[in-house]
Amino acid sequence: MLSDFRYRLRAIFRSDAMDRELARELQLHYEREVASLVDAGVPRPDAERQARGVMGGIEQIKEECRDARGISTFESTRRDLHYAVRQLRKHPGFAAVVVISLALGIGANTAIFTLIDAVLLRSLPVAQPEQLYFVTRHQPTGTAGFGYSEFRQLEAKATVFSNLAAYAATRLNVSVQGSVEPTAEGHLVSGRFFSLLGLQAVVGRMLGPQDDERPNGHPVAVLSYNYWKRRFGLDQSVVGRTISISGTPFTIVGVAPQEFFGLEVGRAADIFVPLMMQPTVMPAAENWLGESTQRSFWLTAVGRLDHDRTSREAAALLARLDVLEPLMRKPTSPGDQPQRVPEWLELESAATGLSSLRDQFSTPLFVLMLIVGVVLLIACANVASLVLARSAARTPEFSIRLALGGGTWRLVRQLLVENVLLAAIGGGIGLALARWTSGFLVTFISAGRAPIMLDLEPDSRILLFTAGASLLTGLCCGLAPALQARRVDVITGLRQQLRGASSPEWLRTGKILVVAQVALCLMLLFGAGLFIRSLRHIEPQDGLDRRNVLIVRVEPRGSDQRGVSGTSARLDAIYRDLIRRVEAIPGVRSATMAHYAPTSSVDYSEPLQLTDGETRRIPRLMVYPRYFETAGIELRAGRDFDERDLGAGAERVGVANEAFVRQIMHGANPVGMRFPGSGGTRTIIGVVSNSKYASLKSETPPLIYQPFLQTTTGRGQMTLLVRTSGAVPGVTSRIREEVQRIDPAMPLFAIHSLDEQIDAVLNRERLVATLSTLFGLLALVLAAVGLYGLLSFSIVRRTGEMGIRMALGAARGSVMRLIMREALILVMVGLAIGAPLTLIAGRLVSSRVSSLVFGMSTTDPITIGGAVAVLTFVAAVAAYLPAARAARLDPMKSLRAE
Amino acid sequence: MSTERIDLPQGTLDLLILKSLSLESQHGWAISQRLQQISKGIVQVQQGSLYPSLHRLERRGWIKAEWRPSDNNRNAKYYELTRAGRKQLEADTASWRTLSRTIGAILDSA
Repeated sequence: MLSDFRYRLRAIFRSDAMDRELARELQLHYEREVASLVDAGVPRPDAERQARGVMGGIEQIKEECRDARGISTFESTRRDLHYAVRQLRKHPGFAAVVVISLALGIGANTAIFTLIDAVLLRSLPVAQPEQLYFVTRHQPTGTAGFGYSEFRQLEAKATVFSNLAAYAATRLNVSVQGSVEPTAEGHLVSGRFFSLLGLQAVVGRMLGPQDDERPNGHPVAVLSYNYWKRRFGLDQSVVGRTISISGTPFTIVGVAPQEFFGLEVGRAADIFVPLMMQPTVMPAAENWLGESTQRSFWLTAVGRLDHDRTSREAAALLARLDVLEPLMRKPTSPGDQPQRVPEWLELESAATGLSSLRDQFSTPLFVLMLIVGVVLLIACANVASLVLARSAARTPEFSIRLALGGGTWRLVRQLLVENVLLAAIGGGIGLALARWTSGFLVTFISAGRAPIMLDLEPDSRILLFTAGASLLTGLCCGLAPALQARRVDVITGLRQQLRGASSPEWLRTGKILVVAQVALCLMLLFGAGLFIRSLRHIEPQDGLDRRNVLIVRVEPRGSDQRGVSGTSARLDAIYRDLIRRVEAIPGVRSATMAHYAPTSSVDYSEPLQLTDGETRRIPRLMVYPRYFETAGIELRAGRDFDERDLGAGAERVGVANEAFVRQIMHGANPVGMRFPGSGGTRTIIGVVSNSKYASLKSETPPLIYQPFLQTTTGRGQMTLLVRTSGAVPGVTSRIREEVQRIDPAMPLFAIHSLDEQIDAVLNRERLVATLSTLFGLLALVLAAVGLYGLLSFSIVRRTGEMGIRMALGAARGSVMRLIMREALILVMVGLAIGAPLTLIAGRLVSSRVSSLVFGMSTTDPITIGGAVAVLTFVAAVAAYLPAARAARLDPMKSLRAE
Repeated sequence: MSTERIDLPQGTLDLLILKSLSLESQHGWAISQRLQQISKGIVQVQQGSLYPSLHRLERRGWIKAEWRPSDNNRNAKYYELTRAGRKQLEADTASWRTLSRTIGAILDSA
C-alpha cells in the first residue's frame, strides 16, 4: 500500500525522468534483440527491421506504460489545468467578469451560511457537547427555568445525569480601581458548572464546588478570555487582583478558555461568579437563594447524560421526578379555589447552546439563504451564457482538436476543468468577501443592544460549503457548453474558421438562460419589495415622536423587591429626585420615568370592573408626569398626571388610551368615570393617542397608564426618558453624572436614543429588507449584464445580416426596433414564467415568512407590478445600448466583415 | 519459428514474469528470451505487453527495479522479486494449479 503510494508519487512528480528511463530500457531491448538476431546469422538490416516488428510501436508502449503507472488521469488533468490557466490569461476580460460574478454569488452564499453556522449549527466548544441537555420546565403557557431550591432538589434527585449545573445570566455593575466600567454581562454559575463542561482555566483556576457553599460567602470571579483581553490586555497578573461588582470587592481567580463565550449563542458572558453570590451582585433583586416572597424561575439547568443513556430514557425518568414546587394559579373569580398549574420537566439538547438569537433569526436567515441561492443561480446563468458564447467562438479550435484525433471526452473535460478553475478562483475570493461581510452583518444585527459575540472563524463546515458551492457552480456553468462541444461537427467547425461563426444552438441556449435569469430576478425583486413595503408599513405607525429622546434603564438597590415594606416610597423618592435633577440639565426639555421603554413588552395587567359589570384585565403601565409629552404621545382629552397624583394618599387615577375608548367604552368619553379594581376605585383623568408598546406589529391594545405609587407589582425598575431640544452634546454624560450622584453603585446601563430602541426592535425586519434589496439589485445587475452580453454577442455574429438589411433600405430605426423587440420578447417570456412562479413561491413560503411580512400578502399585486416595471425598465436600458450600436453600423463595413 | 503459438490468457503474463524472476533478477529482454526458451517458442511475449506489465508489477510492489551493469558492461534495468512478490507468486501458482487441474478434470470427464 505504502510502496504503491510512493511509486505513484514518483510517477506523478518525476514523470519525465521515468519516461526517459523507459526510453533507455526500450532502446537497450532493441539493441539486444538486433544483436541476438545478428548472432544467429541474420543480416543487420533485416535484423533491425525484424526487431522493430517484434517490439511494435515504441510510442504506444510508452503510453501503455504510463497507463500502467496509474497516473494518466492525474497527468492529463494537470495538462488540462495548465492549458486552462493559459486560456484564461489570454482572455483576462472574460476571466474577470466570470470570476467577479461567481465571487459575488458564492461570497453572498458563504456569508449567510457563516451566520447560519454560527447561530444555528456550531457546537459549543466544550467537552462532548452532544451529551449536554438543558432541563426545562414546561407549563401550558411556555417554558421556564427553576427556583433555587428546586434546582438543589433536581441536583440531588436527578441521577440520570452524571453531572448537573445551573446558571443565570445577569448584567453586572463593575468598577475597577474605583473607576466605573460599562455594564458587563455576567453568568452566575453553580459549583459544578465548569467541570460539567470540562473547561480548564487559561490562567489561574475556574470556579468549583468549593465556591458554592455559603450565600454571599465567595467573592471570587472568573473572567472570560474576551473580557480579559478587552479590559486587562491579557495581563497574566490579573489573577489575585480585585474588582468591584455592585459595590462588593471580588477577587479574580482565573480566566476561561478563549473559545468559550457562555452557553448562550450570541450573548457573551464577561464575568463568571458563584451562584451563591446572587444577593450581592444583584442588589436590585431580593435574595433568591432562600425562601422568596415572589416566585422567580431564574436558573437555567444543564446536565450531562451518562453516555449509555438515551435522551428518551432520561426524559422518561425525569418526568417521574417530583422536584417542582407547586405553582398555584390565581383564582379568576372570588369563590374559586386556587388550582395547581400543570408542569413537567423536559430535556432539550444543549449541544449548540441556548439561543434567543436562534429563535429570532432562524426565519430571516432561512429567507436570506433562499435569496442568495437564487442570486447564485442567476450568476451561474450569466457565467454559463458567457462560457457558451466563448465556446461558440472557440468552435474552430475544438474542431481542430477533434480533427487531430483528440477524444470528445478530453474536450468536455477540458471545458469542465476550465470552469471549475474559474469557480475555484471565484470561490476563494468569495470566501474572503464573506469573512468581511459576515462581520458587518453581525454589527447590523447587534445594532442598539449588547454586542453580539459570534464565532465567525471559517470552520470545516463553512470551507466545505464554499468548496461544494464552487465545485457545483463550476460543473453547472461548464456542463451546457461542454455538452454542446461534444456535438461540434468537425467539417462545419473548420469551415467556420474561415467565415465568422454563427452558432444558432448557442444563441438558443443563451436565450433560455436570459429568460431564466429574468424569471429568477423577478422573484428576488418581488421579495425585496415585499420586505421594504412591510417595513414602511410598520415604521410610521408607532405613534411616538422619537426624535431627540434618550432612554436609560435604572435599577436602584432593591428595585426588584417592592414587596419589602418602605421600598416603594424609597424608590419613589429616588425617581422623583432623578427626574428633577435631569430636568435641570441644560438642553433637556422634559424628563420622566416609565416602567418600560416604549416598544418593549409589558406583561402587567389589572382587573377592572367595567360599566356593564364585567371584569376585564387591562394592561397597565407605571409612569411619572410628562411621560406623554416626552414620548411624543398626544393628550386627547382631560389632563396628564401631576404633583397632585404622586402623594401617598392621593386619589387613584389613570389615563386611558384611544383603544380603551374605542374597544371598552365604545366611543364614550371615559374622563371622570370611576372603575372599581383590585386595589380600589380608579378615576380616569385623561385620554391619550395610541402608541405601540409591546410589539410594533400588533394593534395597540386598550391600556391604562398609572402613577408609580398607585400600582402594585413586585418590580420597581424604571426607565428614564429624556427629551432634549435638538442634539445636545454632552447630555448623556451629564445624565450619567446625575445617576451616579444619587447612588454611585447604581447600575448604569447603556443610554440609547428612542430611535435606536425602535431600530433594535425592527432590526430583523430591516436586516432582511436591506439585504434582500442589496441582493435583488445584485441580481438585477447580473441579469442586465446577461441580457446585454447576449445581445452584443448576437449582434456581432449577425453583423452581416444587419448590413444586408441596411443595404436593402432598412432604416436605422427599424434595425434598432428589431433588436429591442427581440430583447423585450425575451424579457416578457421571462416575466410570464416568473410571475406565476413568484406567486407560487410566495404562497409556499408564506407561513415561514409571515413574521417578517407585516400587514401584507405574500402575493401582493402592487409589489409584483412594481417588480415587473423595474425589471422591464432595466432590461430596456440593457438592450438599448447594443441596439443603438447595431443601428450605427456602417452597411458597407458590415458586409465586408462577412 | 514455432508452428503453434497461443495467446496468453489475461493475467497469466504477470504470473510468468514473476516465475521467471523467482530464480534470479533479470532485465526486460532476458525475461522475454527466457519465457520464449522455456516454452519452446510457444509463448511469444509481445514487448507491447511486457513493459506495461513490468510497470504494473512494480507499482504493486511485487518487483523492484535497479540499474546495474549487465554482462556486456552496459547499464540495464534489472527487475527483482520482492518478498510480497514471492508471496504473490506462491498464491498465484497454487490457484493456477487448482484451476488447471479442475478444468482438466472437467474436460476429461466428458
